[in-house]
Amino acid sequence: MSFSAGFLEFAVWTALIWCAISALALGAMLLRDAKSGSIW
Amino acid sequence: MRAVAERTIFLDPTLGWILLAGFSVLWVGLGIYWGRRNKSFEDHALAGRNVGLALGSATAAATWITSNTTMLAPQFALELGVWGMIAYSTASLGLMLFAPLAVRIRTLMPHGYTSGDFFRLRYGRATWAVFLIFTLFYSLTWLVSMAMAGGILLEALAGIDYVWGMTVILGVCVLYTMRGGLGAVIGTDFIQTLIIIIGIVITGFAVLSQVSVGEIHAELSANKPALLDVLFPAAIMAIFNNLLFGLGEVFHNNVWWSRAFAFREGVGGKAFFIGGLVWLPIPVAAGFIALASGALGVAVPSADMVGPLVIAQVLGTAGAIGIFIIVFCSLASSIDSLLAATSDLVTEDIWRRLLRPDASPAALKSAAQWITLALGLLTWALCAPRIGTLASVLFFAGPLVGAMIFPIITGLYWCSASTAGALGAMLLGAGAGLICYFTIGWFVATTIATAVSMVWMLAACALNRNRFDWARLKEDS
Amino acid sequence: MAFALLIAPFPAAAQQSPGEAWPDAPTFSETGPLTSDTGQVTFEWQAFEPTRLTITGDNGRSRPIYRGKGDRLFVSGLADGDYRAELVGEDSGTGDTIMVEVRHQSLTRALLLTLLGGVVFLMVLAIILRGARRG
Repeated sequence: MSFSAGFLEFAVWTALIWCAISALALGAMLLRDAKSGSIW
Repeated sequence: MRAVAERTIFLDPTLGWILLAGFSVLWVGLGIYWGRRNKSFEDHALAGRNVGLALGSATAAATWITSNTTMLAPQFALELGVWGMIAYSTASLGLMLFAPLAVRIRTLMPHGYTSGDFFRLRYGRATWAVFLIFTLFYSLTWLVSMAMAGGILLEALAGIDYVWGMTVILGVCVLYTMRGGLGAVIGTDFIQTLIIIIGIVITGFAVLSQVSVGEIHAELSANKPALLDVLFPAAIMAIFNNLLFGLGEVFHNNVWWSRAFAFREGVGGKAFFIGGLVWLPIPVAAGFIALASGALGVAVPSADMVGPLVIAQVLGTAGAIGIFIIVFCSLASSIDSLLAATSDLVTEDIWRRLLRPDASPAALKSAAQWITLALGLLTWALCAPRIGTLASVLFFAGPLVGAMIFPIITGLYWCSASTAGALGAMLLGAGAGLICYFTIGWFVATTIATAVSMVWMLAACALNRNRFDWARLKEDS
Repeated sequence: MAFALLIAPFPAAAQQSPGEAWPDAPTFSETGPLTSDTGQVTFEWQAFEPTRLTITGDNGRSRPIYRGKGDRLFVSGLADGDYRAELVGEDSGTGDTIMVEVRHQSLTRALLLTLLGGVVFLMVLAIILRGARRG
């Protein structure tokens, strides 16, 4: 039994897009904290 | 299939030194700048207990992204295939499950400083002593393995001499951690997280622009079928062993506890959960490029260099610069955290509790700074001779940290958890795990250690008639 | 490492007498057979010329896995079976062979350990989630 090409494709693309979104989300969260003066 | 041709990666050493110098100046400058806010030990060690959600989430993810993640993820994928990447991703559960623990810790111990405080107040001095031995062994070997990895990688990537590379990385981290405390560590972690994630995404898309996932899959099916095998024995054994190792690392170590204390009220739970989500895809995103090595025709002389080799093949000099920066950031974001958290542990648990109970807040801050320097020098002295086996000692830590999972979670939630239970679980679990490590193999050690400690701890809780008074954890600082 | 370089023999070309054809054919560092329970194997060899490395499985299908001037190659993902690795010098045409035996670890033991790990993990999860809900 092997992992299919479809599964590998899904895993790789999901991981890359997820990473890109998390970088954007972290940036957005920092801006939000900065606006409310609550970075630290 | 075409025969793979060899390829050497090499960044001009001058360029390597320029990059090293540039980032060193940046981190040290930020450390000094952020350190000016710190007046007391509480400011220095816990960033004033007021860290917000964005920095909190980023520091949780960044500290967990070590050189191990960016360098070992491709190695894991190359050795253990698809399951290897998934097994590595499960380490993010350590962060996610620490989220509720962080909330509980903050509620039970509003004035706490370290994970050592918890063991001392919850289970007494004998268990605390065993905890200190276990955690200092783990922290020091982790620190040594990363500083050594830094020196070796800088040498491999840019021809910078091992001792010089290791000295610069360690020296820079010691300097900004000493000056800036946890605030500087958390601030730099944010920048480092963004650099690492963006680097991984660019690299991933660059690899996919040269070879499709379908081609990678076809090459693996033809030549490396075990890597796609759903029933690959070595890989499926790694899943829970790795997961439990990760849980043990996060649950016990002061790196994470100090953050639970440092995050603003109400931030801890969310920050650790988001940190876990940020970390989750990274082993796959950084690891799959190793699976592409065959399809790209990259020859791999040793598994630990597969990441840089593939990136240099795909992106040339730009890739070599990128990997150099990613590696430097991943190393710095973990070395600084470990230096800060371990020196705070030594300051709070040994210096303050055992030697100078009446030290003033300013004196404690200064002690913490000198202890950071001493820890840095000790790490340097251990790394300088470049004894390869030293880094592999880190694997012995698996059973030690696994055996602490149940004493911690039952100690936080159950009033029936007792000293006999915790002490027995830690000693028996670690002992059984280490025996299995040497008689069977690394892949069983953490699982067995955690299982043995679980059985002992649960039995001790069931038999214990005494109930712990939670108010005893609210010791005033 | 520097010490190892000092005691390493000088390149064969310097010692070669005119009539003698390639006295130092590429050779594997070990005599073999190499064994692996994870499907991974590292080939190491000595050669004074570019080499080609080919691997042949039980099914008789052979495939080239390396060509170049290196002296080391990591290979992973091999399925159960016996393999023959053949190293050939590109200039001399002479070389060496080594056998590789791949026998993966017991699947039963692996599944049992996974089950044990799963039970332990579920227990951790139950304690934390129940505690957090009551919290």
